[in-house]
Order: sequence, then structure tokens, then C-alpha cells
Amino acid sequence: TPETTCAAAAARDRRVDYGFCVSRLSHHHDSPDADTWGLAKVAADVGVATAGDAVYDIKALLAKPPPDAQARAALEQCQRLYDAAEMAFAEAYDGINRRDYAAGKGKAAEAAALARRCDDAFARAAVRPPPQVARWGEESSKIAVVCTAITDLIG
Amino acid sequence: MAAAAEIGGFTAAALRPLAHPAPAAAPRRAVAAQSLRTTATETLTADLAASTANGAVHAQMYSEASSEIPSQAAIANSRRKTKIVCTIGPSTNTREMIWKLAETGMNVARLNMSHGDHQSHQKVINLVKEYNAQNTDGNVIAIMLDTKGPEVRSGDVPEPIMLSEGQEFNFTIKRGVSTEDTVSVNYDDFINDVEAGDILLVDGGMMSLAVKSKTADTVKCEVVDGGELKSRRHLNVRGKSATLPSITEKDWEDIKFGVENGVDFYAVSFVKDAKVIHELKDYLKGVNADIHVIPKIESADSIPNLQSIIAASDGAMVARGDLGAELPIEDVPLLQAEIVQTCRNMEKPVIVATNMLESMIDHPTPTRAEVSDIAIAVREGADAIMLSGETAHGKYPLKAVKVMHTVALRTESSIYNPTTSPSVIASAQGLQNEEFSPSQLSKMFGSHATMMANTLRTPIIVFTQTGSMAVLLSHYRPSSTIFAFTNEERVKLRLALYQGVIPIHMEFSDDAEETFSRAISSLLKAQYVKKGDYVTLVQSGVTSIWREESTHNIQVRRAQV
Repeated sequence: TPETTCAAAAARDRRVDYGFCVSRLSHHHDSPDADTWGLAKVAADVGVATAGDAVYDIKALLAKPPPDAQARAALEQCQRLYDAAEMAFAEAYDGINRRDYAAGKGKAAEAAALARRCDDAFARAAVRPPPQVARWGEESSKIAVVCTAITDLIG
Repeated sequence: MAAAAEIGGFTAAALRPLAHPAPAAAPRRAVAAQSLRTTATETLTADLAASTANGAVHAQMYSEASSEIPSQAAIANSRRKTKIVCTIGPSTNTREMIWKLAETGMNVARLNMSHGDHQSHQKVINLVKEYNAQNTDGNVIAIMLDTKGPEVRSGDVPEPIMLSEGQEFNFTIKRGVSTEDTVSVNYDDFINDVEAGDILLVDGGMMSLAVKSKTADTVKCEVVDGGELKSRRHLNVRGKSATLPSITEKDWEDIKFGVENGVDFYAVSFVKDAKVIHELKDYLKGVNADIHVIPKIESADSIPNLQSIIAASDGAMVARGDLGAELPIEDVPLLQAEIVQTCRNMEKPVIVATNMLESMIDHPTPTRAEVSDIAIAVREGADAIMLSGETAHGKYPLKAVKVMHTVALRTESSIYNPTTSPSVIASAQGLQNEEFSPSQLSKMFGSHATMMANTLRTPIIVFTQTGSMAVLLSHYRPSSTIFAFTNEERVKLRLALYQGVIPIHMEFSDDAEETFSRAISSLLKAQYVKKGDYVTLVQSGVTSIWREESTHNIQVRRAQV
């Protein structure tokens, strides 16, 4: 179950946020009858959706004129980064699905790194990121950790 | 003469059950025909009952004297949600047939670049655009250009053909050929790509044949290494094609042709990974072409990369013929379900293709298995279902479209629409955060609008500049129709592919109420809704139209003149 798997993942890797892990995995339509392998894929799929939501929100922000050119440039870069993060999470899913766990974990880590670069873009512009962008960055990192930790549990 | 029969058949369908006596030599067809007639009768009975309840509408609906009454296809299409993609070929590439296909139920015209030339495809494109220009309030036809890809394949054979060393065997560019010594290939220029003396490799060399001579349409060979020739085998010319890129030179020419003509979709053949999708999308971005990319999932190599291929794309096509050739045939239904579900999860359109009504290439009625096949695709939630040879070179293209229309419509009427998981995910996220992000708000509003429309049994009206809200609503599969008003012609055409969406172009004014009134008047005029009907009106999406930031709105209004 998501609860037992998340607990095991958290025990193995203290970076895993147990509450976050359970809430995200348990609401996915594939989780009710998933084994550990299935839940690792669920985590990757949640990552795809999370990055996709970030892209959506960034487009929404860009549809309204940002306060300054630097903020706009940062948002545009973030859109590209989250597009790439979405792909990386999808590739993580494919890797895990192929039982190529090393590749899957590598792609999950890559996705998290891409999300962090978005935060870096705002930092370099000396602009505070919009709340929703900051949230997606945090959630992308968290779900990548969850995905990696659960993948490590696969026997 | 055949065209006249088709016209008669179409007219009869609106008034009485169809009569399709099967040939005496094919008694199985009689059983299938009876099954289809039952389905058609049930549908027509329901239609007539509904019309009877609104006698005046019934009278107007079939009055040929009124120039303002939309075509039957427009009315019919507003009730069918699953879209129909038709491949245009020698059987259908005339003005008359394009119009009839559109009236019968075609939503997307597919151009197969493996056959024909740019001139013949240009003709079809021009005709479709002409049709769209003449039908601004009714059916809209999108255009999908299907690349050939690097693969050349042999055609379908009913049973494997044993090839023996030294035997003469031929490949022809004629379609649908399968005899003891000759089979088709899927590419017209194959005849020009091989020369006497070349060695043809089947499936990478499991069998090989030496090219001896050529005629205008046939390559004559002698078997060098024999074996069992099955359907859709890879054909390569030794030393010539083994290292072809995913997008060949011909494909790039076809892609540029598509850009020049502003097609709406590319169906990309033999995609194995996301790399080729990125390459094509980068090119399209570079030439400022707003064309969506639909990979055809048809090779064994694509399955391990399914998630990333679809993530990189704008949708997908389940190309089952080649999937069945490369993978165990018993896996195809499971793969279809997986591909459909993956697309559904990602809110991307999915087309189910190949062999859906294959028997109707030569027969006027479908098999019961084919009817069930269409029903399964509809039940799985496919956005669209596709006809290939049936409309490209079949004898009964209009009948095939009509069958597909009827079966899809009947199946849809029996489907229950549960709330889907993504809305639950969005809700869960919302519950944990005080501040909702645009993506979460849009998902929740899409979900709630769908539930409202389902509960109240109203159609949905949505105003969209980018199409995103219409796509999201389609994803939730509301029971009723989504009327998507957009001020972007490009978006209108693209939305033709999405399940349940009827796109309508309309310029937006600065006054929201004035625009709403015009939209409802448009629907009343087109007979999509009747005076006094309720509609669910949705204001939400990426861009704000007539609303302040963070304000989303769902209204239920009564249609008034």
C-alpha cells in the first residue's frame, strides 16, 4: 500500500516526506492495486503531472505582463526547464517500467535538478519566484526523492 | 451510379432502417448485416422518438427548402463525441466525395504520404479548406499529414507464405495484393528505390531476395534465402536503407509541404523514442509553424519509451497493424488500452487506428467483430477512431464512415461517465494549500463544470483563445457536447480532433455579455440548442477573458433569442 511503501521509503531515506508521499501516491488511479514496482512508476507519473502543472502555471503567468523584463526572462527559462523536467520524469517512468532502475533513478534526479535551475534563474535575476512556481519546485524535488527511494525498495 | 446509391442510402438512413441484402456467396455477412440493422434501427428509433417529442424541430430538421438549416451531418456530429479520421485516397479524393465524407461524419482528413504525390495531396487540402470556408457554423474538418517514415513494409497476408530458395516472388505497389507469388508494399516509390541486382532483406535478413527486373508497378525477385513471409515485414535494400534516420529526406519534404499548406497535425511514422519528436518540434518552432505532432505507436521499439514519447508529443495514434506484426498479436489489445490510458492521463488526444472496418474495403457491411472493435475503442475513451484503406481505396467508403458513426454514437449512449482521477488529485492538492494555482483551479473548474453539466443535462459553452480549457473539459468526458468558441481559426481546427468538442470560430468583443449572447444565438440558429434549453457556461483557462485575475466562473443560463 502507499502507506507501507512510503513508510519503508522514509525509513530508508530520511529525505522522504512521508505525508507528502502518501497523499500524492494514494490519490493516483493506479495506486490501489500497485506493488512496489507499480508505486515507483506512480511516483514518476506524479512527477510528470507536477512538472506539467508547473508549465501550465508559468504559461498563465506569462499571459499576464510580468512586472519587469528580468522576471519575464526567468519565467520563460523556467517554462523550458519544466518542459524538460516533465520529459525527464516521463523517461524515469519508462526506465522503471523497463526495469532499468538505474536509468529511472538517474532521470528522476535529473528532473529535480532541472526544477532547481528554475529557482536559480530567479535568484540570478534577484527576483522572488511567484508562490506557485516555488511550490512546484519544492514538489518536484520531493516527488523525485520519493520515486528514487521507492525504486530502491524494489526487490 | 455508386455515388447515387450512396446518396440514396444516406437519405434513407434518416427516415427508415437501412436495407443491405448481403451477397449470396457470403452468408456470414447476412448475420453481420442483421446485427448492424438492429443497431441502426435502435438509433433511428431513438432519433425519431426525440424528434417526435419536438415535432416542429423534426419538421424543420428535414426541410430541404430552408437554407438556414444546417446539414444532417452537423446535427449528427453534435451528438457523436468520438471523432472520425478518414484517409483520403483514390476512392475519395474528389470534391463530391470530400463533401459526402464530411456530411457522413468525417472530422479529420488524413493524407497518407506513402501514396500519391504532392499534387494529389494539394488537391485534397484545397478541397478541405474550401469545405471549411463554406461551413462556418457546422462541421469543421482538420487536416492530418501522415509521414511515410523510414520503414518499407510488405502488405497484409491472410496466411504466411512459404518462400523457397530459387523461387520467383514479386512485390507490387498495387494495394491490397496478396497471392501465392505477389504481395503489396506500403510505399509507391519503392518501385523507384530498387534496381535489378539489389538484394532485398526481409526483417533484417531473415529472408533475402534478389531483384531480377521491374515493371511499372512490380518488382520481380528470386528468393535467395527462404522462409515464412508474414504480414507487414520490414523490407530493406542491402546497403541502402539500414541507416535511415527516423525522419527521411522524403519525410522532410512532406513536412515542409505540410507547413506550406498549414496542416493541423502530423502523424509521424515509426517513432521509437522522444528524440525524433523533439527534432520535429524544434524545426516547427524554427519556422513558426503551429502544427501538432502525433506519433504513431507502431513498433516494438516504441513501447519501452511510451511515456516519454507521449510526454514529448501532442497526442498519439495506436497503429495496431504494425504493432501486431512486431509484437505478439495477443498483446495488441493490452497495448491499445495502455496507450489510450497513458494519453488520457496526460490529457492528450489518442487515435485508435488500423483494421477497424477492414472487411468493408471489399464488403458493404462490417463483421460483428469489427463493430465490437469500434465499441471497445470508444469505451476505452479514444478521442478518435480512424479509417485507412476503407476510405482511401475501398469500395464502400461512405458506408464505412456511416457504420463507424452509428456504432460510436450507440456505444456513447451507453457509457457511464465517472469522475476521473486527475480531478481527485487536483482536489487533494487544493485541500493542502490555501492558495490555488491556475493549473489546480482550471482542473477543479473543469471537473465541477462537467459534473454540473452532467447533473443538469446541459451542454457546455466555453470561450477559449488557446483551446486549453476545451481540451481539459474534453478530458473529463462530459455526457453532453462541449461548444468551444474561439477567436483563433488555428485553434478551431485543432479542436476538431478532441472527443466531445465542437469548435466554433467567433470574434470576441470587449463586452462579455454581448459575446455570450452572440454565442447562444449562434447555437440556436444552428439548431444545436433550442429556445428555453439550459446551457452551462464556463469562464476559465490560461488567459483571462473578461475576468479579473483568479476569478473563475461557471454559470447555468437559459437560451433565449
